[in-house]
Amino acid sequence: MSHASVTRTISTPEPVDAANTLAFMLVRVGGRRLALDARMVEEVAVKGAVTRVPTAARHVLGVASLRGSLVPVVSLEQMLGVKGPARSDAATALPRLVVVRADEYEIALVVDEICGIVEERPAEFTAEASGADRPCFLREEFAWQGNLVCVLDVPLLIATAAGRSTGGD
Amino acid sequence: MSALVLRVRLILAFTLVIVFVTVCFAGYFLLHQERSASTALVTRASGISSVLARLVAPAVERDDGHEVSNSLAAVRDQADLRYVVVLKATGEVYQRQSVGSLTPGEELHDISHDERVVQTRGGLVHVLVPLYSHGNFLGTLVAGFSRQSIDDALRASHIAVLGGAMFILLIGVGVGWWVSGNIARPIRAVAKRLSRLSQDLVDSARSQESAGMQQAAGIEQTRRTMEVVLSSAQQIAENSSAVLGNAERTVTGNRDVALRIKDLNNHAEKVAEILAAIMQVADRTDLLALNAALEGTKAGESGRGFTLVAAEMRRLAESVMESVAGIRRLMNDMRGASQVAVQAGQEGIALSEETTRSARDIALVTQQQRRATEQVGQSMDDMAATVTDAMSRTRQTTANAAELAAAALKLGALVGSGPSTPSARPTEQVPIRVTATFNGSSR
Repeated sequence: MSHASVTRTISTPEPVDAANTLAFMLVRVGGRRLALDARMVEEVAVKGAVTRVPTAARHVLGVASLRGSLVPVVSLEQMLGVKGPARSDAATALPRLVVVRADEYEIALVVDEICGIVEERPAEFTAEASGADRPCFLREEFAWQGNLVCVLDVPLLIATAAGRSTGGD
Repeated sequence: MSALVLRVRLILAFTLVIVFVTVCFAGYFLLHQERSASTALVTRASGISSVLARLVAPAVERDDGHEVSNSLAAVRDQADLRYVVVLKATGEVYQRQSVGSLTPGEELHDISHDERVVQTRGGLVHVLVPLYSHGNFLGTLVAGFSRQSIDDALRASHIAVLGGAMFILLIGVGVGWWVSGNIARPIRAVAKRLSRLSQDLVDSARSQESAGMQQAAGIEQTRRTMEVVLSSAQQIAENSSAVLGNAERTVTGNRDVALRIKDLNNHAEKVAEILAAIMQVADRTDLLALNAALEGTKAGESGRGFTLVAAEMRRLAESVMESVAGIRRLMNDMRGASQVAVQAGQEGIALSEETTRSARDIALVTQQQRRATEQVGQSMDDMAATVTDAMSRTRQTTANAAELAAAALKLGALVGSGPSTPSARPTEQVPIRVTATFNGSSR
């Protein structure tokens, strides 16, 4: 499954009005804070045993069994190129799996910490910075508790992870 | 002055001997001379009288007065002859002849029938010779001889003897002076040397006595120090016994503490297990609350309250997890502290055991020290007795040396080598204070 085909088959969620708020799940990957659209998060789970898959891309750690179904486990660190994960002193800083779904595609993202669920106004987000090395699934940014949080485009992330997982780059 | 006295004494001794010998010799000589002179005078007088009697006897028988007078005149020049009287048998003076004047009664007019009679009377020697002719007694010839010559000779002899005696006396005095000088000089030198040596001996004896007293004082001080050391050793032994008991109790206490800490560690391990279970439950609760909040968020406006409750539950779970994390940190700190306490307890046990061994060693060493101190005290007693005896002998030596020095000084003064007052003072009788018993009260 190529990147283009996946983006064609995964539908984006319904847009919201600029005046309305949208719920985001804040996670931390390394030293970076990211925001996921809460509507596309299926669940969070404890990072358990992960079975490696031969010939898989580097960011695909393997598959895990969640509620009876096998879900690909993707490392956001590898996809974002974050090096040197900053450890948090928080008691909740345990490896978590955040299961995101777009249509019938479902993957589990490995995050270092789940900071919580916040509601933000997308209209107040700042535009994403452009750059050649910036992944395409990174979208706008907003400030939260003094930290800059980058919004992830989940369908594009799933498409990217799926495309790379098949080695179709 | 004393030397002069000595020499005078020596000279007098010599002189007395010489005078004695001289007097004896002179007395004997004069007496013998007087006897010899008297004997010679009597012999000569007897001879002259006998010869004269034979000459005049025939003339008297013939009654020839002239011949008798001539015969008497013939002996008129005989020395010492003072008178010659021829008496008839009736005692009448027949003829007389005298030399010089005679005092009345000086002539002897006695009739003698004996062969010859010599009488000494009035400083004259009278010789009476009977006159016989053919067996007929005719009368008596009496001749008087003077002792003047003998007296003069004796006087001259007295003078000569006195002069000789004076000469011999002077010779004796000179010889005595020379001999006394020759005798006194070596005696004086020997006296000086003897005085110096005796003074040195006195000084040495006093120095030795002073050193002995110092040694006795040192022995006394050492003995007292040994007593203090012995007392200290006794106290050390008692204290080491107390330390030994304390160390053994400390070992027991440290072992109890180690056991209690081990039990505490076991309890901490169980608490850690319980905390792990609580942590796991809180983690699950956090996940459940998070999923619940997620579902509430997906439910829209109707699930807002559910989302708030879920968020609150999640905060509670996070609070529990943070509390558990804090408890874990405290448990870790407590575990580290207990390990440190266990290690400190083990070190304390090791130190207590080392203290126990040290206390036993101290007790052993103290016992040896006490025995050694007692032996030193016994040696001090022996040494004190020896020093006491040595000091007594030294004092006796000092006294003898002082007496010798006094005698030497006296001898020196006698022969003129120094003052007559001895400078060596007699030995002071200082009581000996060496205690010859070691008070080993702790034996």
